[in-house]
Amino acid sequence: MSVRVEFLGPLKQVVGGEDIIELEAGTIAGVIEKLNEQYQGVTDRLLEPEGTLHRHINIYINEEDIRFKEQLQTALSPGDVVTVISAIAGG
Amino acid sequence: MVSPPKTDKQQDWHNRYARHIVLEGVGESGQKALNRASVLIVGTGGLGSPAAFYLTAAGVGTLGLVDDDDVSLNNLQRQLLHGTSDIGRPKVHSALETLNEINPEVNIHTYLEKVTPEIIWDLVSDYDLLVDASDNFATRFLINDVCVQAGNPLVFGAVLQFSGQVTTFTQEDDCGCYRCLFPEAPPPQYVPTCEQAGIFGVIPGIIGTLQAAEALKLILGRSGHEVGTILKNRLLLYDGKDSSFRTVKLSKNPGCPVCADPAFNFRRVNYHNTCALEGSPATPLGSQSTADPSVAAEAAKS
Ligand SMILES: [Zn+2]
Repeated sequence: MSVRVEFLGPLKQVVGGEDIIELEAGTIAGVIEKLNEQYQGVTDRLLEPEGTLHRHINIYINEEDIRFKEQLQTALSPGDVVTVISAIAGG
Repeated sequence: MVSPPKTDKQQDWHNRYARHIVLEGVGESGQKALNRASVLIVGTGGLGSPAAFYLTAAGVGTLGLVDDDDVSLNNLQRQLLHGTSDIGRPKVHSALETLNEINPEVNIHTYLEKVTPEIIWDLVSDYDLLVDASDNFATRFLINDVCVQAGNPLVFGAVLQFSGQVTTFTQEDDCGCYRCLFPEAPPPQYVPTCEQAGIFGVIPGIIGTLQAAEALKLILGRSGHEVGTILKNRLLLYDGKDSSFRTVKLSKNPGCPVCADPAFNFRRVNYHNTCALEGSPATPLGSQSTADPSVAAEAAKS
């Protein structure tokens, strides 16, 4: 199931500055697992030690916040766009 | 019937705001609504500069500026309210001078004060809406929480490196707040400040200008003018690296400890730590706080 993953802003460095990553995954947890194989430390940057999403990280599937879906178990459909952002505070 | 000749003052008003007056959606009545409105901008740096410029030029009746910082040389790369000869002066003083020159008809109040919960609480009732142009998480959570409690609309904007975020919290029942978006401030090791990580100078210019647009549209919309939709329950993301805008949905969290709890009281929150709510149970998103308690106070002088 091919999806497009985009890390925005300062999080881009987590995936080596890549704008768009295409990969095969059935859930958000699967996306993170795949990314962690490719880029070291992805899991630590996105998840708490107990495996939940950091509170300052949001993940969207086609504009929908996964916190209001099935969290990391939210299922993906082919062609979905996954957007990952971090809270920022600069002004 | 011949209408009485306009006075010089009326002519100047028509002339100064001619492009608004002729504009469908604003017009004379919209311009008058702007002239009656009051906006408090917290921060007169990278975001506060463009926001204050445009709100002043647009003739917002009263503008409040809160900042306890002095102008420094490394501000001038992006904080356009201040000039080289202002270095060492309080930012609110140089801001006042600059803005008076743009539009002397705007009533500008400056508050050379550190942002504390009580100061923001005292000020919110004097203003129709707030623009968050601050530069650290502690202040952002504080402003959010006080605005929710007071019911004041809040235009949020934040920047880092090449990216920016904008949204408007209207405080209507169906509108989420900053805590619905991000429940708590991240531990400092996770999200750097502009001082640490840098900021591409035009990014706050873009985001602060969008905040001004949101504030003006909010004022116009609330006075019955047709200026389209604002960023209510939508987060606008700007990525300066790939020169793109995206919007994502911002949902009201029915379990939000701030905007969904009528008993919420900002006085019970420790804004010196991760802005966590006292005794708040760990949510499914739970994060243990590893933040140094001194951090929030020191946070992010960008
Ligand atoms: Zn909320």
